[in-house]
Amino acid sequence: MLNMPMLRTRIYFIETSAAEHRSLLCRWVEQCHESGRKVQVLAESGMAARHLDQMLWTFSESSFVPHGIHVPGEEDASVHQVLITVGEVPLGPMDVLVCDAGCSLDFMARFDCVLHFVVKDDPGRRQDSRLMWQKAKDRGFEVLHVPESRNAKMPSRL
Amino acid sequence: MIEEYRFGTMRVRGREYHGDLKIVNDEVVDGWWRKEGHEVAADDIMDILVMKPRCLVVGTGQPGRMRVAESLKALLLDAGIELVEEPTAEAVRTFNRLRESGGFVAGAFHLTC
Repeated sequence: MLNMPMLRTRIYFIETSAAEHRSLLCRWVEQCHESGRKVQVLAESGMAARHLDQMLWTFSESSFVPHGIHVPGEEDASVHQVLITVGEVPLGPMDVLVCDAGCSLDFMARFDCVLHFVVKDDPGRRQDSRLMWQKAKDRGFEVLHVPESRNAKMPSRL
Repeated sequence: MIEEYRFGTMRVRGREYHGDLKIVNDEVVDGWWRKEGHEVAADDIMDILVMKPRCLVVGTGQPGRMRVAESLKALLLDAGIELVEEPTAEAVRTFNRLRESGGFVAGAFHLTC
């Protein structure tokens, strides 16, 4: 029997390029944070988590996105509005999952909303995204496609 | 909730704003900027998309030069979010009316031309 998500999880499949992927990720995390959503960022390794940590401080001169890297057993995850985890770490209630790494649908089902990036110029990841789209649809997730913006270059804030 | 709009200025709950802004879950997100100044694309309103409102009211400015990208219109349709796109003075009235009638509404307002 297929596991249906308890609340219907919405997954946004966001088209981007390898070069722009993490800048775009940071921008979306910033927007979610500014609107008061609790965000978990899923990284695939400690190194990737540290890179994301650095990028969230530096991707835009005028931005301020307080965040941390989850260290198991060392801190109360609930104090963070934005928390980076290495792998699928269940935390307290979080609203949005932002995937910088592969993630199971079972884990995605814990969230109200999931952001998954479709890296168009990486054939392997693009294929993974296609498979995930189909599986998510079959399991009753709400899947939505966000086409790549015409101008993918990140501007500075006005 | 929005008490006054005039060219370049909006007053929301007693506070004046002089730049474009969004209202998401009854919170004001000021300093709203877009990749393309007069076009709204999906990643300009990500905070609104993740909030899953029933309706999005876009104030396109005075007289209303800003446009919602066709790709975003399609995404909103797929997401079941009704889009109202109006010059900002009208959009403010629509936003207040929908909010007062209990609708889960988000707003994105361009304050100048």
